[in-house]
Amino acid sequence: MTAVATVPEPPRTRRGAGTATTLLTAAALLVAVVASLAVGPRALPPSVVLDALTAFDPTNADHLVVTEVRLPRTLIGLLAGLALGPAGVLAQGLTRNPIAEPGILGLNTGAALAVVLAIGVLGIRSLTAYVWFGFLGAGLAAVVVAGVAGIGGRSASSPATLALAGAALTAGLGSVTTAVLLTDPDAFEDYRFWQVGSLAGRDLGIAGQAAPFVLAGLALALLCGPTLNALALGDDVARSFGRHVGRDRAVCGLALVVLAGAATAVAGPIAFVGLTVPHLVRALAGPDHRRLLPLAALAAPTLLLVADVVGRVVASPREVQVGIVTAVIGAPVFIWFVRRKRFVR
Amino acid sequence: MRRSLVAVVAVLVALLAGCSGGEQPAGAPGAPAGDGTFPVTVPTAFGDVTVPQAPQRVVALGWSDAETALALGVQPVGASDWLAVGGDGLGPWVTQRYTTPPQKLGTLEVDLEQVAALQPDLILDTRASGTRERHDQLAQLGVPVVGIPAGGENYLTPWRDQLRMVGAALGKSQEAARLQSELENRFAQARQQNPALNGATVVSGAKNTLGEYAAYVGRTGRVEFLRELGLVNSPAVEAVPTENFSVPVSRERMNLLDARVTIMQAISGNAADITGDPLWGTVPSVAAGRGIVLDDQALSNAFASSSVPGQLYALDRMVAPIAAAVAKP
Repeated sequence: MTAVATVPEPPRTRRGAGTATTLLTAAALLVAVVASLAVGPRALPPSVVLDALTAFDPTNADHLVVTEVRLPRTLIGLLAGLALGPAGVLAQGLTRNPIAEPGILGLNTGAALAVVLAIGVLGIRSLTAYVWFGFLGAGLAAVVVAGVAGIGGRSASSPATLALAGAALTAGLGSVTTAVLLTDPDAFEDYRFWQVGSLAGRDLGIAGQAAPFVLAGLALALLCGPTLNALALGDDVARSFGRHVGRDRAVCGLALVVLAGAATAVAGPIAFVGLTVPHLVRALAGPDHRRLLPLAALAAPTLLLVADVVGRVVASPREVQVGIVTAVIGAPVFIWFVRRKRFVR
Repeated sequence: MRRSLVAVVAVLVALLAGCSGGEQPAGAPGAPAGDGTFPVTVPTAFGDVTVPQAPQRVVALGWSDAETALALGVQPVGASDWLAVGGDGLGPWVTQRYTTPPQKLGTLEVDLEQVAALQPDLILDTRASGTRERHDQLAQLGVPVVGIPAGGENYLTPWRDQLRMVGAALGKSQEAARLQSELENRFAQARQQNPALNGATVVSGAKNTLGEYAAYVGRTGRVEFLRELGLVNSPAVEAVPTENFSVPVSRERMNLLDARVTIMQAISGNAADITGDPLWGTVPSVAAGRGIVLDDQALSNAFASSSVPGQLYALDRMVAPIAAAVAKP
């Protein structure tokens, strides 16, 4: 490895172990996808599920359950996870803050406020429309946070100002959201379901709306590995290796906004996934962001889909929204990591 | 021409009432005053409530309390618009109109200061969540609060109880009894003309904007309306244990919506969300042409109001399609 004008790479795990980890994570995702298609309140034998996907009969109620309920749900979970995992890695890498997640940068609250205003002021009652408002809100919040923190400028921006600006915006926008909800209680019911985070009731149209954004954001995020590795060394060191710190951060920040906005718009703000998944994959694969980003993209949808399946069966015949299940699963996992003291590296 | 004349007369009557000091609440012209003796005592789930004198400033917070008061000739000064009708909160099924539109108030959450600013002398909340917390908050204002009847939690107050309680609190018990027998006669007439409805099973459900279905339990106003016609609520729905007014129906288990007739409403959405759902078409009753989607928002709201005017309006428009559905094989 030549050191001239190249960022020194973090220590890597043995190549064989790395491949095994990737394969295992991918296998876990596959299992989660199969479970998400196979498990639900209506007991369907695997052969019927397979038939529904390969030899679809639109007059067969069982087939319709698979294509109308489980398939959209699974795709939404996949998309949201694909977005949330790398978004968490990006947020933590960009801010060099181990408790950063998309929410800490004000993106979720921005999206939430836009949705609340859409419901309360414009009287919009459609999940398809919420997607665009979620995007708009997350994007505006990102512009404000980036502007306050001075991202893109040559010097002023630091991880601390970024996190502080995000926290301030989160507090500000959150109180506006609360104020709107208090003055318009009728908007509250609709918002409540959106806000809690759920994969149910969102149809393929929403997945189709968000998919291009998730894929574009993901592609951009996967290019950010070397950048994040450099930033992890501190701005000055990164700069000494010839990196344009401001530009790098702006590019990866854009990926973060697109991913967080898409995930929030698709499934509502889902707690903990963006926070815990980066720590989980870091424990598996070490600190190299080039490995963390794809692994997080595999692990986060696994966690989401498993949580959703658990939510479908744990309180049958009722369902528990995935946002609640991930919080219940995510909190103990996070505490476990904190207790192991490994998580701040 | 006739309408404008009525309007002119109404304005004149209102002006005269204003000039004379407005001792009496502005009543519907020609309506009998009822027994009108005060104080009256109304039993509620939170104890007996005494209304000392004829209320002048009524705040109507419960589901359909405002239109019930209006039907009895009393115009509330504040009203909740549960069905999000908009405007003055009166749907096309209400024949009376306000001379002065009431202050619109919240539904699930009520702004106490807003209520206090209206200086009410009676608060009606006869069909609501019925929580002790909500009642105690309203009671802080020191005004008689006629809350839900015993067993009316979760919006389960039957229309007869609502009518009787509102009538008693307003001193209009006789008028309330007259409205009750008018509606009962209409139900009896419908039963007589459609004997096939007797004993037929029905599911009354709704779909919300998130695509979630629910079926109403037998004690809700909607199913009560259908029971008055002789129909019976689906035993499968009744078998689901719940303390709520509806039971959730998973889109994976749409068979729970099957009955002789299945009636579905879209909550703050549009009926196309239901008719366009392939899983709705898999419900056996719907596949057999015995599904009814209430695609007329006014009718859907009137049916949901469970008030006397709402049910009269729904009777005119729902009995024929229900009878047609029941008659299908």
